[in-house]
Amino acid sequence: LRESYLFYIVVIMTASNLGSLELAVLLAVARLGDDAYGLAVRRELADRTERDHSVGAIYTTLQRLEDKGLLASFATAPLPVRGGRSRRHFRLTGAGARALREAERHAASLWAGIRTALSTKPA
Amino acid sequence: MISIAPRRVRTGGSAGKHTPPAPERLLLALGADPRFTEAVLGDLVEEYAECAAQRGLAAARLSLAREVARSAPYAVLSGIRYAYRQRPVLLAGYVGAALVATLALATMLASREGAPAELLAGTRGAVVVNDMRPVRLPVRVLDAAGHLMRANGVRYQWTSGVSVAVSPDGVVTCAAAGDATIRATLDHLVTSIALYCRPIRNVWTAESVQLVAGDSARQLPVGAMGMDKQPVALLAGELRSRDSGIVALDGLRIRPLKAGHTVVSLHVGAHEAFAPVDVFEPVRTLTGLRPAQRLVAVSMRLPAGASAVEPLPEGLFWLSILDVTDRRLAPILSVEGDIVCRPALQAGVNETHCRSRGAGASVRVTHPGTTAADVQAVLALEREDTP
Repeated sequence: LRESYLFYIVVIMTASNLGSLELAVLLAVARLGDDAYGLAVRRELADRTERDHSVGAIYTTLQRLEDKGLLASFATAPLPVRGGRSRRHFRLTGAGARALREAERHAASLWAGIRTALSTKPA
Repeated sequence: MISIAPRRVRTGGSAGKHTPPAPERLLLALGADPRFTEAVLGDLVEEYAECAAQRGLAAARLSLAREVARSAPYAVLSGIRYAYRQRPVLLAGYVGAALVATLALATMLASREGAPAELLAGTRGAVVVNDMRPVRLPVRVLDAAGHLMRANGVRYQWTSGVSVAVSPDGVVTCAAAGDATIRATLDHLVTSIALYCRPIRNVWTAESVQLVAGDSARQLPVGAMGMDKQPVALLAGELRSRDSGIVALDGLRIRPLKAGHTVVSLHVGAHEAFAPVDVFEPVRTLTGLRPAQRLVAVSMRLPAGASAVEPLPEGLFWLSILDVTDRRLAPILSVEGDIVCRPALQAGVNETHCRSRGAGASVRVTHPGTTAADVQAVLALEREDTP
């Protein structure tokens, strides 16, 4: 079971050229829709993965995904709650949506048959 | 790297205009992407305000400090990426400065010295001087880790024994034989040096040394005469070899490595002595020697009444029995065939120079008959030319 899991992670990174955090952030942006900005993405990931990433790590990943053309961003008007700073919202681009579908397809391919095997062999 | 001062943040969902400019200026000065700075600082302020409202200022400050610390490396990374895209010259400056700083740090670490922890003089605190000329005392300074340090600052003073001139920086002059004690001081470190003044008139060693490659090391005999023409037992000097590929030196021991000639020189005080060294290649027999085999030796054991015959090559060569310590037990050499040797071989002659004019000459090595025991012999051949 452990070997299969590690293999899965490695292949996902290679096939879709996405790191595990990149994939998680991309999914969070897709899930949040119009509300996707750094703090919201970070909380979404914390809720779903029980991992607390730093704001710096989140924004670095968001920036990298934007550089890859998988995300696009825009700034809001200055907000009092942010000390007069604007929010930077992100949205999925067409390339980002394709990357997610590709990652899902790879994952499904890799997981095919695994659940049956796991149900018959004790972990 | 990032420092947020949240003192002016109002709780209750609105942070107002209280983002301190200092961290922003710092990040921008470092070349960080302004969009990254804006977004990160905005998130931090927003989160701080929420946390302060829900859990109090103390918890908010703690959370903020933790988040700032965790995000600092990413801020630097963003700055580098931004510089790479926007300001290559700035990035080159960063890289150059980092390289210089790294090199400077490495140099500093490599050359750093700890505090002096130990003073070591000569061999276990003893120094032998065989010279009447001024000599600097061999003192080493070590730090606590055992690293050798510069011996600057060590001060010396004569304390007892025969009168010896000692300069404050450790130069002694032994005008006569005798023992003295010198104190060496460096900061809080003090050590006592036993100085043995043994100036010598001359030094000598073996006239020559013959060894067989692969044999164990052999001690070089050394002698010296003092100014009073009496033998000197305490000597300190250096042994050197002209060809370290033929013999290896360890103190006064010589270990033969491969066949060949070399010279070892002995240096004691102002005096020198030299010893030529021949190292022979061990062979089972003198039959079928190759031209390159100019120094060969055959080891043999001779029972009482027995002899062994070895063929000799054509040409000029030296023939000898090595390691003769007791002439009564030395085997007897004789030659047969068209060969002339000087001195002529007879009992008691263990080395001779020969000319063999053709094939068929041979040497016979015979048990001396002075003992009933077996005799071990090493027959050495040194060719002067090749046929």
